[in-house]
Amino acid sequence: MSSPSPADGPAGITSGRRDFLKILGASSLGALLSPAVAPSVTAAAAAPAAVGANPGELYAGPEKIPLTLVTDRPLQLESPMKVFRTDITPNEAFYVRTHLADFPAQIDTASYRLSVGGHIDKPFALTLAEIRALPAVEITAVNQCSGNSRSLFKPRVAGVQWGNGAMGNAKWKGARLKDVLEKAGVKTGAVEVQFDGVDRGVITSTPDYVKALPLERALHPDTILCYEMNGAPLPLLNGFPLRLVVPGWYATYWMKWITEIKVAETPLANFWMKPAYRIPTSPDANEDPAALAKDTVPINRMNIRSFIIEPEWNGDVPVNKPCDISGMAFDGGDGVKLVEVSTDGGATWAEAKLGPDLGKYSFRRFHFAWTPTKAGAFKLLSRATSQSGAQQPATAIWNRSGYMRNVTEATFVFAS
Amino acid sequence: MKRSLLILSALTILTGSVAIAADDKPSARKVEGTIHSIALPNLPHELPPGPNSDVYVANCTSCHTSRYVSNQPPFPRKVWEAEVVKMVKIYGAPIDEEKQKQIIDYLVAIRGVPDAAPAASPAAK
Repeated sequence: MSSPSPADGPAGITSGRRDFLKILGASSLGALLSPAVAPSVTAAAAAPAAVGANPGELYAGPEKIPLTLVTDRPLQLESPMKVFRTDITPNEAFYVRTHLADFPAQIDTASYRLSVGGHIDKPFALTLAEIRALPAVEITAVNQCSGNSRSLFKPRVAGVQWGNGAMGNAKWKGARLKDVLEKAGVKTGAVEVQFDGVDRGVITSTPDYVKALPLERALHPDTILCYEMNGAPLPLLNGFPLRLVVPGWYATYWMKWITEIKVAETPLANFWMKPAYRIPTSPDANEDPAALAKDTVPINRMNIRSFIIEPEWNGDVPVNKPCDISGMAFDGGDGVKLVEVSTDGGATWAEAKLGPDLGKYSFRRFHFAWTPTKAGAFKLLSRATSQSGAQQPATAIWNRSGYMRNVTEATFVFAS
Repeated sequence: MKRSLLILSALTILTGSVAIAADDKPSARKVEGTIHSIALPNLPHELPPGPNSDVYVANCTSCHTSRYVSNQPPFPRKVWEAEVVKMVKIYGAPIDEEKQKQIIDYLVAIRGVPDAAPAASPAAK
């Protein structure tokens, strides 16, 4: 897909990152390694390590509270698990995932355009004001990275080593993609819709991050061109001024800084669609490390998961006093039907009480009243079941790319 | 949470670095007219010394942070080979074969394990 380069400015973007790299190139690596530009990073390694918690440093990025710094260039920030004590994840605590290091540090909303082209009646471009003038919808939905929890895979796989915090739940407001595609007049023979944002690789030979959605999913009324997150403009790191929101699907499709939509007659065959972001065709995306699956498909809907958030991992709880075990569950849009909790490592299970229903794509809070009657270590587990009957497995799946982990996660606590 | 905060505060005092607490206000974006901007981070990071570390620095760090390496668990040589080949063939890094081998040697030296573990061929970074 040919999109104007950010350096040319037609889409209203200039990149501070690119300028930085130019400076870097001119002065060798001295600038990068200079202690004079030491950032606000504090080691968090001494804090109790939770299962799935990334033991990295904390870093307060632009428009963000301190989040776990996974990598800085491209930038990956993970939400600490305590962030998920609320049903809605605040914008400033929302995780950040970027594929390419040259992403926009500056956006001019006046000159920003979304171009629509490809297999349609007539190409056109929309201003942000024109997108905002379309009928607006707001959907509460979980955005989760395909590789969330990758660091828990055994055997380990290469890739961004996320703990469990590459996810968040927000209210996404925007225009339906369907309305834009109907305005475009999709021609017979179209099979998918491709999306490009302004992010780029540092060198031109790096494949641009372009992703495609099947036409059916693009036309789904819940797929939106989002300009507002939790009642505020999107943070720049989360795609301001416009990102695609695909409720129920993994975040790889939630394209940020989106400037180009192309309706296509043939499937996109770039690196980001194949071999990246593909899963084995087996129903649970599982494969044998010693005999990798031959057939793969693009990753798509999320499977069901749940997490105990409180008490926190390695936390202390008093003996003979009531303890509220709480957390949240979510899936790919069937909705959460049931959450069960085990306080004996999975030997017995009991139904938890569900919190308010914020919609089928949202986190669903659960609470379970528990009174530990003896001192010692307890292994707590939560297990969610969807409205369609899908349930979290007791043993973890494995696949080569570290996607779709959804085993029942254990939380260890100590009663005294 | 309290425990982590206390530890963080203690570290902050000890190291004299910029204070971070979980309730810190996030830095706002700059808005001038219709132009919205943020200052992107510059977070220096160095890998341990090792054979060919200079080749690694010269050929890899212009596109990505060394945290991409330090964040990985130790891998067998064939996984690091696959990573470096991916950087060249897919991400388009202009690195000749001799330098690729030197970089692989360095990665194995600082982040390697014996070649017994099952293959784990990564897709997206």
